[in-house]
Amino acid sequence: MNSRIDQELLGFVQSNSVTATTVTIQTDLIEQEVLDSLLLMELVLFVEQQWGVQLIGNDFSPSHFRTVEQLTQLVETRRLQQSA
Amino acid sequence: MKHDYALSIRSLAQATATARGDQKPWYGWQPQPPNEPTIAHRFTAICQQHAGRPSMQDRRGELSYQWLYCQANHLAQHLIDHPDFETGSHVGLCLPNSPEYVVAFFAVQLAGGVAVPIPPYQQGKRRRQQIAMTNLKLMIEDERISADQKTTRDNRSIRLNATTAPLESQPVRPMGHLAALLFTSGSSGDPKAVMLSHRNILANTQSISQVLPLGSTDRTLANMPFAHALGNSVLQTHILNGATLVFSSDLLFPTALLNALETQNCTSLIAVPEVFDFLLRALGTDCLQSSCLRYMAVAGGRLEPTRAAQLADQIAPAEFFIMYGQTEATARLACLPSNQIERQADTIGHPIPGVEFCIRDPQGVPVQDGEVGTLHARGDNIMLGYWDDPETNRLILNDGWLNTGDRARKNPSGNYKICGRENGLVKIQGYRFHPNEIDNTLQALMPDAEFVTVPYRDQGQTRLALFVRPCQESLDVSQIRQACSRELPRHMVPQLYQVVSQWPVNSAHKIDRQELAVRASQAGLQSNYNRSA
Repeated sequence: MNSRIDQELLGFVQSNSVTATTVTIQTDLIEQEVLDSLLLMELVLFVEQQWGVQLIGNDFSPSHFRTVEQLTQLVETRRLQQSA
Repeated sequence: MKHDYALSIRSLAQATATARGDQKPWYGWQPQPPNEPTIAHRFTAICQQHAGRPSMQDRRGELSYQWLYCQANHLAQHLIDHPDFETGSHVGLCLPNSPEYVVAFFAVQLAGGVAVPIPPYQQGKRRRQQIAMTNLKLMIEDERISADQKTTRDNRSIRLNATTAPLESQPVRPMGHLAALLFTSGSSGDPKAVMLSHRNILANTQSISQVLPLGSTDRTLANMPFAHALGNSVLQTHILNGATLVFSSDLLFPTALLNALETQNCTSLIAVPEVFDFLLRALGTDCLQSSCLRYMAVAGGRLEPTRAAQLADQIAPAEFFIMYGQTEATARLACLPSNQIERQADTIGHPIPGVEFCIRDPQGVPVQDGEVGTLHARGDNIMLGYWDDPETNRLILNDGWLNTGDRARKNPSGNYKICGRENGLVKIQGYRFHPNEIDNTLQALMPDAEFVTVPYRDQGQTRLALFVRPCQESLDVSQIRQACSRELPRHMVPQLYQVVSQWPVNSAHKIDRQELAVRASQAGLQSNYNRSA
């Protein structure tokens, strides 16, 4: 796990969340209602801009966005694929 | 099938603390003309005509029109019997999109009250303000929420159940002109309540069903909040045409939305641009595979023309419509049909049946075709006015014409094109508001700083940047963020926060908002993150 990516994602979620929930890299963002449609869009744009990857199709599923940890894995996978 | 729907009617008499009977509108309470149909008439007729057909579907199963009518009638009787209710009373509906909401909306109509949707996820000062300004007498809400409230005077719990009595129409009670109040923002930044009459809602419903392929076999995904003009419009157009509203939870992800459309056999989707932006990302270059879908329609904001054309292409043979409107016009004013999307996706098409447009210069004189001016609209769907705001009403309503505040021109093709806004209003997720509203809210909380919010565009989306000038040394940006999250509705929470030591000024010696917008665009997401990290 790339600790820089997960820390940056965590920082982004923490500062842009409008809920009072304390977010860690393992917090369930969906269950805890941290993610709403606006934050989801923000997060996607942030990921694409920050790491130059493009998310598409099934990337937009709860399994990739449930925790910061899972999203970090998605970013890493897409980076490897898209830089190859 | 077991249905467990529980609602409660809560008295707000203590909260609003005003004498009974003073809820008559300031413009003079007028009874509905005796021969003019009301929403209650139309609703009753549709329920009789479609009694055995599904009005709604949620995870608990299908609910027939007969069920809907019986439950609405049952709840209406509870309202009528309530000591704080009388004809014309304002009744809050504080419920998420659900069959319960639909029952409650029509119950208020059958009882002769005025429905006032209150967004359920909004708390604090804003909700108190909405309750007080519209003089709410009663609130219909989820039983569990009501149980937590301290003011329990005359709370009534109502259980909606699966049983349906024979469908007999009840005598329609005397009603006022006013059917609903919908909240929006005015150009001054203050929240306003739009007064919609029975005629407004019925006229808009009829016009919309003439331009969309909307009939009783339509099944639409009811994912736009009913408290919002567009969501409210989807509710009316579908129920009052005998169609089916489909409720599905967890539609946060576009993949889930696509899945729900397919598995629930939906024939249509009507949503704000942000939803379609996301849907396109999920689709990628694939075409939408749906056996049932007939059409999609975007309203409540501008979808980039290239994206509209792309979407129209990817959902074919289903049709794609671009619609334009505002809360002050009940919901929708114009429509660009599917067959014109390829060439005209930067326009809003024509006014829908029953609506007239006129573009005027600053003196109010109609301009020549092709010239830009202010768009005015007239028709039976134009609101009665803002609640308790005769001054603004005089400014924007004139001889039946509504000043939309949008700048527009008529193209040689006959289609209308929106060229911008006159009053500084922005639209995010279909909600129209003035950035001043954010500044005013923060100013009241933090008098030791100055706030200016400006909109900027980023990747085809409208975003908000909040600039702060502290008058004292210490200022914690994270506190301002928290205040925004706590005090403002979600769509008004800015994405970008910047501290300035002094304001840029323009040649008129006023704060240069354009310069701030340029700074915001340049800063973008990167500095958003860096600043907050």
